[in-house]
Amino acid sequence: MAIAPIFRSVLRSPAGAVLISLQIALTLAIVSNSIFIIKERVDKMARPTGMPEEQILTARVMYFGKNIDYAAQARRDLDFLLQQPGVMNATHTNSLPLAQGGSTSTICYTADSRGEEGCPYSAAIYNGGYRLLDTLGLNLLEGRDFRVEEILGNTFGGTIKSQLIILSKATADKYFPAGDALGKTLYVAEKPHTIIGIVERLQSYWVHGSEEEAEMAGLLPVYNHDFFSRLVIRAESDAIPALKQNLERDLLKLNDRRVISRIHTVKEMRDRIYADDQAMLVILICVIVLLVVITGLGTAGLVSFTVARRQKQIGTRRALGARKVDILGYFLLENGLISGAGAALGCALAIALNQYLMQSYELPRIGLEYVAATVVLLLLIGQSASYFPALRASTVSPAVATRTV
Amino acid sequence: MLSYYIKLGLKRLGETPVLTLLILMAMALGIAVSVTMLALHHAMAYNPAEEKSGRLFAVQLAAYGNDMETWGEEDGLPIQVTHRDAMNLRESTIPLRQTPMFRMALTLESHRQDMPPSADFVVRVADRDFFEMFGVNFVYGGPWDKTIDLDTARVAVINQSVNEYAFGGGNNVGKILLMNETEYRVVGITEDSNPLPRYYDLTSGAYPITPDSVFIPYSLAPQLESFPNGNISGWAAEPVNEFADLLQTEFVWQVYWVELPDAQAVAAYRDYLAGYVDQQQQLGRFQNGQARGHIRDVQQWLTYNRVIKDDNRVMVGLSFMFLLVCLVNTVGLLLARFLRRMNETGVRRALGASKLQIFQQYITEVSLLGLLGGGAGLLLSMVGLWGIRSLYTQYATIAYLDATMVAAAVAISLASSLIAGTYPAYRVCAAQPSLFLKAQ
Repeated sequence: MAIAPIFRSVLRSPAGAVLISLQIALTLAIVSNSIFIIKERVDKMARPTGMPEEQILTARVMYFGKNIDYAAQARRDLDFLLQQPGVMNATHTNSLPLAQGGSTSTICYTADSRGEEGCPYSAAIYNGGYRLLDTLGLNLLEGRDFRVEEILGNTFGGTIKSQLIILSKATADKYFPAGDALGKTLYVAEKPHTIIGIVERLQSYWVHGSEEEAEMAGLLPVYNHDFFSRLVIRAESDAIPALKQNLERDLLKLNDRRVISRIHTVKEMRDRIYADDQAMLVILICVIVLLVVITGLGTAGLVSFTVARRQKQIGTRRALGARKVDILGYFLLENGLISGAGAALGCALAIALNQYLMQSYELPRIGLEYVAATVVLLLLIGQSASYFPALRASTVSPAVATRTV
Repeated sequence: MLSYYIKLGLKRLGETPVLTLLILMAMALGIAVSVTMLALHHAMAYNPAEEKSGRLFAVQLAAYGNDMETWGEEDGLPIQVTHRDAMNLRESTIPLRQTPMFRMALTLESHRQDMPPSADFVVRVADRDFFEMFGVNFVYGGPWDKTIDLDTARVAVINQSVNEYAFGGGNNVGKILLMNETEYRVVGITEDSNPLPRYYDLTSGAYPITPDSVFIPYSLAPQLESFPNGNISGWAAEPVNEFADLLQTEFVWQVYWVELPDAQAVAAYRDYLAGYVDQQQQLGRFQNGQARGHIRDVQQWLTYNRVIKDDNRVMVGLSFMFLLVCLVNTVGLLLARFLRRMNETGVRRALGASKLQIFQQYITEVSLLGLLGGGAGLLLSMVGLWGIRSLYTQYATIAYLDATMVAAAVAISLASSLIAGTYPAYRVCAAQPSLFLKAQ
């Protein structure tokens, strides 16, 4: 079909066409960037913690009684828990992945290192009792776990006494890019720590920093039982619901001078820590759906108007021998050209918007596939929106042309 | 004339119901989405200190050493101070009022039957001035005596929720509150209030869900056995085995506020801080490239601590782009609507109506659409905010429309309808009436 007449008729009253293209361009910029942000968030939320997530249950234990031998009570709790059906392991820790709160230490190459060069990174440090590695279900790639006699009692800042450390592979590779970290020494709190083990993955308790930061973590063989502790239990996934339900009652039976709360599965911890990302997702999806609906209906409205205005023109063409399908094709092609022009402008706008977001909000560069997919989506919407008005145009009777002449 | 235009406008709205509905929907959605996001941003940007905002200042000290270049925030200042510095700062007589503060998690026991012990109440440790500086209202009793800030006593101020939990409500001043099996005498009961953002302590999130419910004197700090439940940061490798050790270290873990009533006091306090830094340097502390003291008032403090997240800014930006799309959409639909009536307009022009009158008629119609769309948009934005409240528990108490936002919504809808309507109305009255008359 000849494109030239379409151009001419569009140019004769360009306002409608300009408005449709502008709308498509803006929608394209917003939708493609929104989809891109959604993809970013979905990826962020899907990052693995390094734990077998469906097997982990955690709870906060807060003692308020005086003169409690915390370590002895912890021992009794663990003995009890290990006898429960399905329980594979249990221990205490200051924190665990997804916990939101915990302890971070700067790790240095030497005792007197300062600044970026000597102490380039910080890592989440999990201080845990015996069996923490196994309770968290971490995959040990190299080296070994701490031995029971290596676990030191100490608390906050108590890294001072420990001399051993287990690191996540990401952390080990950062300090020793050659991959020969095992057996090497790093300094935590100015004291030497020998790397005795490397686990495949161990996520930080804080996940909202950079992707790199979230992978920086290590274990220290230091744990001192005091009024606050976090219990971690690893159990067969089908045993978790019953355990969760009875945990508070059972532990209070062993000692009721404490509060057992925040009994969470990893899924619940995920929901909590990623609540804002989840909300952003929902909002962006709503925005995309509404935008697409509005753009679709707006296009349909404007095409109907064009059709209504050109009744006589259509009638004349029909009278001169144009088939229904020619009229349908004409309007679809016209809309395709207008939307196409809008999409071209929209690609530029989408990239400009992404540039702005990169500069102001540290968003990465948008993949062109997101823009391309949005172009396809919007062209499809535009074509379907103009299909029914165009179909109506094609049913205009040739007699219309004769009526008002 | 105006009433005639309004009548005419209303009649037209009913004549093309589908087109009218499309236009109203586009306007209402555009307004709803932008007002929802703006209202959330507005609530997050609220400054709860209001008129006291310019009198209250957070104190920062670059108190780190070891010849470090920088530590803390980007400007080389940590947002918290050490216990040692807090104790020293307290001796200055320049501030009208002042207080250090931190947060604890202690377990409360109730005097009521069947109430289990609870670790869900936030305990704030501060000086007496806290209550007046941050506008805490008392229902019974009052703050503890000023002498207790120096010569400590186991006293507590509790809010209504704790009063309800521990005693079942009523005036319980003088009764005993049990926390971690330690007895505290209740001296005052305050209203439940949860100012958000929590401007006086942003270290545990700016929009905490649980309010500060129990207040105990800062002078009790040396006797407390459990660690604070907040942010503790340090630059030195100092061993801390129990809470008492923390008091002696260079760890920063409390926020320090001063109330300076006028410019003179502000200047005097700045001088005082400079002198304090000098004095501490001579004692061997503050050995760093940034050594200085700094104060920020509440508004500066909120900005400095970035209480509004990037996500919220992005959403406000996107929502206004969304409104723009809706406007472009509306312009197109209005153009269609008006040009369709070209014949009628031609007749009116031919019968002597001026261009201005035609323009007025169409603008009246557009304003009607704007009002209807704006009204629908306002209702929809309430739905939107309901959605926001269920998505974000931390904004559940603040994501509402206030008078400012309703006014903003009205302004946005009127501005939008005028922006969207001017071009189509202009097109109609600029057209040659003869062209359309001929076709009749």
